[in-house]
This record gives sequence, structure tokens and C-alpha cells, in this order.
Amino acid sequence: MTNLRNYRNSRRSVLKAMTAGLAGLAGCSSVLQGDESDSTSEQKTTFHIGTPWNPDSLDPLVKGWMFRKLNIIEPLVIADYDASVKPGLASEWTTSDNKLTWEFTLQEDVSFHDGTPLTVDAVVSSLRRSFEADSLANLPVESISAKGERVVEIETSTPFAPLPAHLTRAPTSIVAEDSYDNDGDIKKPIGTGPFQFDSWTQGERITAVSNSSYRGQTPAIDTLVYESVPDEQTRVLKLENTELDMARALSGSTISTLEDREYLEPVDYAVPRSRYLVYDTTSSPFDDVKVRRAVMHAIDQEEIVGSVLNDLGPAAIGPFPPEVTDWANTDLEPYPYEPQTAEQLLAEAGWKATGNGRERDGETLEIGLWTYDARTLPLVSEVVQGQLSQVGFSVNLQVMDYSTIDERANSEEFDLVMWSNSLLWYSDPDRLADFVHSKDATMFSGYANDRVDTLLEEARRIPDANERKRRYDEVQSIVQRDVPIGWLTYVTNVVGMNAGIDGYEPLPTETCYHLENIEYDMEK
Amino acid sequence: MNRYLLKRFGTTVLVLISVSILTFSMVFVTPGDPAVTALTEQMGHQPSEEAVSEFREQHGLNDPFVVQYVNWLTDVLSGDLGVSYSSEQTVASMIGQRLPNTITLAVAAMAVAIAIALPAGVASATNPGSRIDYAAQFGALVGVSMPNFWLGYLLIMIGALWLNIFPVSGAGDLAHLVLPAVTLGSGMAAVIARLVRTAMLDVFDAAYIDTARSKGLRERIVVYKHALRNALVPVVTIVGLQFSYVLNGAVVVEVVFQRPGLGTLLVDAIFARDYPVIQGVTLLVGVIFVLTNLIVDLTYQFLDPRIDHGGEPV
Repeated sequence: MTNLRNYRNSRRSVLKAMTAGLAGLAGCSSVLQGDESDSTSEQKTTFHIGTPWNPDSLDPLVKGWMFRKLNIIEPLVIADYDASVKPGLASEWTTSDNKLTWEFTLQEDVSFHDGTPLTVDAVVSSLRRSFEADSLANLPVESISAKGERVVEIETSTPFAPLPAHLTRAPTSIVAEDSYDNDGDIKKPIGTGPFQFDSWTQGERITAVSNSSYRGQTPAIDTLVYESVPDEQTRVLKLENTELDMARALSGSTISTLEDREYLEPVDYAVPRSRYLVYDTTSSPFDDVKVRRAVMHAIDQEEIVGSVLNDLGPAAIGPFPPEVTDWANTDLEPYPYEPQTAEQLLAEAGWKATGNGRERDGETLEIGLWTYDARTLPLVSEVVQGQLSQVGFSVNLQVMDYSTIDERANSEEFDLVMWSNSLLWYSDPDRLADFVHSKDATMFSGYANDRVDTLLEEARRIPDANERKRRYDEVQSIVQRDVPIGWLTYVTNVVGMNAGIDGYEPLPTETCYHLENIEYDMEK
Repeated sequence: MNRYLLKRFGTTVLVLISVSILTFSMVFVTPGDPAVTALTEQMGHQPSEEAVSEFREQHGLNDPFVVQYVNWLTDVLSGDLGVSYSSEQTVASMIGQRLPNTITLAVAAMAVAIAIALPAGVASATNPGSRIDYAAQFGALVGVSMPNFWLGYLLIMIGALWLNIFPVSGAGDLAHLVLPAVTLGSGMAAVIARLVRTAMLDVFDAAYIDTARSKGLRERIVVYKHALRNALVPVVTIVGLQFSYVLNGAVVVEVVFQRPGLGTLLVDAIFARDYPVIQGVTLLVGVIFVLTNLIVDLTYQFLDPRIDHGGEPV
């Protein structure tokens, strides 16, 4: 790290000399003062992290995930490294016999960044504001109240086992009353985390400083600068130029660039996120399960991973990657790459091979494949297009904006959509309801299966984890058989960082960067 | 003059209303649901149906187009540009944050352009057919032909990665300004240099230059006091108009250098279907464009009072 700092300092001094010349010419000296203070602060550890996302709001209800990722604000429950839930600001929780009342016991001796103690009243007031927000309004929470000095009581209208997982979500993070002005607008987010908010430049950056009175270990980073750098290539350039210490959301193709620089290193890790196909199960040709299965057999997932994902997949079987979470059903049977089986299934479904495609009752097997530009989806779609054409599909690929796809797929007939999503952005498999429940689903396959609905609804009401897992396993099996959604590959995150950083352990759910754990290795 | 001004202001208002109607219509015929996009942006994940319908209701997105337009225009006329869907900040404050960066870039780019173009143009015109002239013309050709984004990346490679002198992107101090200003200014410099050359050569042909020379004035005075001042009339017009086009160029340059300004604000807002921000920025750019044209016309008169405006007394 020392070398890197020297390198940066020498670059700064050249820059300073140049700037001095230019500033002198322009008769401008104030710029120099800015640079002076900047170079003094370099003596301390300032960590620059670059991501594609804009820090354009201070409100934890609007862009709270950003403050949560930086660990400025903390919720009652947090996601663990195996994507399960574990105590956060609440040390433990219980449910009543009728499963409608939850009691969360607060940790002791916790203070907000402004020095005020974390009281039960502060938590209740913060949570009430959270649960009034759009993003949490659909949860069955009836009331939030204080019970004694350390217990927060949450009543739900129905038994709701995923509640602790929902309490890991950023908008439920606890902020002090003084975070808001008299109109209820945010002034600054005052949380309880290892970093505390320092300043904000709208749309550009957030600066946080280490919280010396944090109940755990004080972070090695003195100042944390979160910068918005939307273009991936620019993030890599800034990393190469040592303007950033960490660049996030990189694609696999950047790994070799990072490996070529001795002062940089790539970190890749599995996340519970998938690339998948959504079939319109209500219209031809994908209203026939045989045609959906034919697609699954016609796609060579390994080929996709090898050809366009820089070997970073891996191929997916079910919704959850088993290496990340225990909620994955490890008994699922994959659809092997068997073009002959695909052709046979298509023939059975009445789609007869012609010279250059397939036909049924004079109709050609022509489908539209829609996708949007993120996580290499267009490239993966091109490979899928090619592979499907091998068994007789004629595929029209269209890359659109994701909200256009969402709007059109929900309002008109479509064929096939390639999408990518996190399956555990809150750490609970109830998330499957968003994909395959006949009424709750936000994905648009039109799939309706009474057994799946029943299992999902039962699992949501049962507190016992094993009982729940049994049901979610069955849901995954049924979905694997019916394929309203075809899982293609899991997503591997790539983070580029300074080789002089030790102790960075990426959290699969991506809800917190945990930069308070990193250390500087002076030898590197 | 007053009638002329009045007429110009009338046209300005009409143009701005047209701009607002066009922007509003274009945003609405573009497919994609702003509620889904904005909520996904805010939450970092796919929103539920309930959240989407609540958002649409809250922001009046279920109202007919005309109602939405009239509501927006009424608010704008009372000084309220609305609230961003993505950040829930007021559009005015977002523009206020970004505008200084864009203005700084535009002014710096103009300075770079003029600093290169005036000497190059004058040198070229006073030595027509010489090596200096050919070199300047070749430079201008290269400058005009080179796309901003390409030059931008080239300068990043050289200035940031190889020489390690300038930062790759961002805004803040003078160092952040150099590469974007050179990128944006060099293209303009080429246009202006060519114009200065042509205008100077035209002026050199005029009888009053011969008169000045025959009076025995020093060539320096002839060139700079007599010729350049008159040659500046078309140059100022173009420079003025270029100032508006700088805003267009700034969009590309700001994106290349990830410089937070109106350009990046607009591009982000378009991707995020953030209607209030798109409308606010477009309107502002429209206002700047129209006002710049007005100022150019007035400057024109100042430099050459013989120019009249359609028979109006001036």
C-alpha cells in the first residue's frame, strides 16, 4: 500500500505543479488551496470506491440501500455470509403462539452517530416511517410499538415467517430522529454503523468517516468516498490510475486487465442472482410445456458460460445457487444439452421440420426474444438465438429498455424474455412467490399452479425452517418440471481492487460491502 | 429597437412553448413505464404491482396527457420544476447542483477554442499559401473531423494513463477541467479558426484596408485594429451560436469524462425515465439556446451598427 500511496503522491505532486502553473496563468489561487488540503488528507487512509449507481438522494427510504452498503445505517436484522438472517441491531427475536406478534429485543449500549442512545422509541419511530413507504407497503405489518425498554413489538395481519428477512432490507434501517427536519425531509442520515455520514454531492459522491465510538472494531479506513462512475470502462481506468481503490459491478472481461497490473487484483464471488428465460405460458408456442422443455434441451449452458461469460457462471439448475444458500434444492434434475431430445419434443408438439425451420398447421416456429442491456444479457441472448435456430426456431432478438419489456410483457402477448435478478435481495425463499405464484408474481409468465400457490402460502406462514424448506424444495421441483421460467446461469460478481487491501470478504447478498473489515497490507 | 426586442421575446416564448410540448410528447410516446423504472432505481430491485400503482397514482401518471402537461406548465410558470422520480429531490436543486459544472466546462472550452483559433486564423490569413497557413488549415480539418468522444478517450489514455497527470473522470478542481475543456474546445477552435481566416481575407480585400495601408499605418495596426475588428462580426456570431452548441457537445464530453453536469444529468434522466428532470433540463437548455441567439443578434448590432432588422428602425 505504501508504494501505491507514494505512486499516487508523486502523481499528485506533478499534477500540483501543473495546476499551479495553470492557476498562476489564470490568476487563480483558490484552486491550489483545495489541492493542498487534498494532499494533506492523503496522509490518512482515504478509500475511494466506484460504482455505477448515483448517490442522488440522502433519504434512506429512497436510496437507503446505498447507505446500507456503506454500513452507515444498520437494520434490526442483517444478512449473513451464507445468505441466512442473523442479529443486527436486534440481538434476538421471538414469535407468539398464534404467529402474529413478533418481539425484537434490541442490543444494549448502541449509540447513534450523534451520540444519542438507540432507544426503543427511536426504533419504533424509524420503523413506522419505513413501513409507510411504497416499497414496504405490501407487507402484512399491522402495527409497530414499544414493549418495555428494549423490545419492539411488530404485529402482522397474517402469520408471516419472512418478516425477519424483510427487516434486513435497507429502508428498514434505523435512523435517529435528528436525521429529519421539521417537514420530515432528510437532513443527513444518522445511523449506528461503523461509518458515519460526512458529506454528499448530489449525483456524484458520498463521503463517510470512521465512527470511532462504534461498538465493534474501529475501521482501518479513516475516510470513505463513494463515487458514482456509471461507465464500466471508466471505473477500470480510474482503478488503473489509482483514483479508485475499489471498482464494483465489473464484467468478467475486465479480469485479465486487472491481473495484468501488479498493483491491482480482481475478486470474483458467487451471488444469488440468475440469468433466466421467462416464457409466456399463456400463448403459442410456449403454452405447451414440451416446447418450453425443448428450449431447455436446445440450450448449451456451458457453451454460454465459456463463450461470453469468461467462464464466470456457472450454469444454473434451479433458482438458487447451492454454493451460496441452503435454500437451493440440490436434488433438482438439470435439463442436459440434448438437441436431439429438443427436436423430438418439438415434433411431438406438432412442430414439423421443414427445409429451414419448423411449421405447425401452416404457422412457422418464429419467436421473439426480448432482453435489456445489463449483465451481458444481449450477448447471452445472441448465443441462445443461435442455439435455438439449430433445432428449428426462428428467433427475433430485440434489446429494449427493461421497463418497456415489463410494460409490454404485462399487457400483451410475448414469447420469451431474458431477464436477470437477485433471488435473495432479502434473505428468504418467499421471494419465489415473485416468480411463480399465480397472483403475487411480478414476473410475467402467466404461470398458475394451485399446488405451487398452496406450498408458497403455507411456507410463508410456518416458522420452522425445515418445514419451510420441504415446501420450497417441492416448489422448485414443480417449477423445474413445468418450466415457466428457465434458469440459465448464475451471476458471478467481479470487483476490482487495490492489491494492497486485505481482509475484504464479499457478502453474497450484496446488501453491505463490509468495508469496516478491510486492512491495509504495507508489504504489498 | 424596443419593437424588435418585443418581437424577439414573443418568438422566444413561442419557441419555448413548442419545446415544452415537443419534449412532453416525446417522453410520453416513448415506451417504458416510468413508475417501474423509477422504483427499480430507488429500491435497487423489481417493484411490486402495488408499489407501481401507488407511484402512478401519487405522481398523476394516470391522468390524460393534456392534464399532465397543463399541470406541469402551471407549476413551471410559478417557478416549480417538479420533483425527480428517482431521487425525490427538486429538479431545480438538481439543476442548480449540475449547472455550474456545465457552465464552467463551456466557458473553459470557449477559452481554449478562442486561444487556439484567433492566433491560428490571423496567422493563416496574413500568410496565405504559406506553410503556417497549410499547417493551420490541416489542424482545423483534423479538429473538425475528430469526434469528441474519440478525442476524449485519446486524451484520457495520454493525459491520465500514460503521463499520469490528469484524473480520468469527475469534477472538482482545475485538473479535472483540462482534458474535457481541450476535448470540447479543440473542435470549436477548428471551426472558429477557419472562419477567422476567411473573414480576415474578405476584409483584406476591402477598400478601407488599402486606404489604411496607403496612409502608411503599420501592418500590425492594420491587421489588428482595422481588419480583425471587422472580421470579428461573423466570428462573434459563430462563437455565440457555438456557445449553444457547446451545451450539445458537453453532453458527449460529460459522459466520456463522467463529469457531473447538465449533460450527464439529462442522459441519466432519460435512461431512468425521470420525466420531471428530462423536462426541466430540456426547457433550461431551450431557454439558454434562445437567449444566446438573442444576445448574438444584439452583439451583432453593437459591432456593426449598419446591420438592421427587416427595416425596423434600430
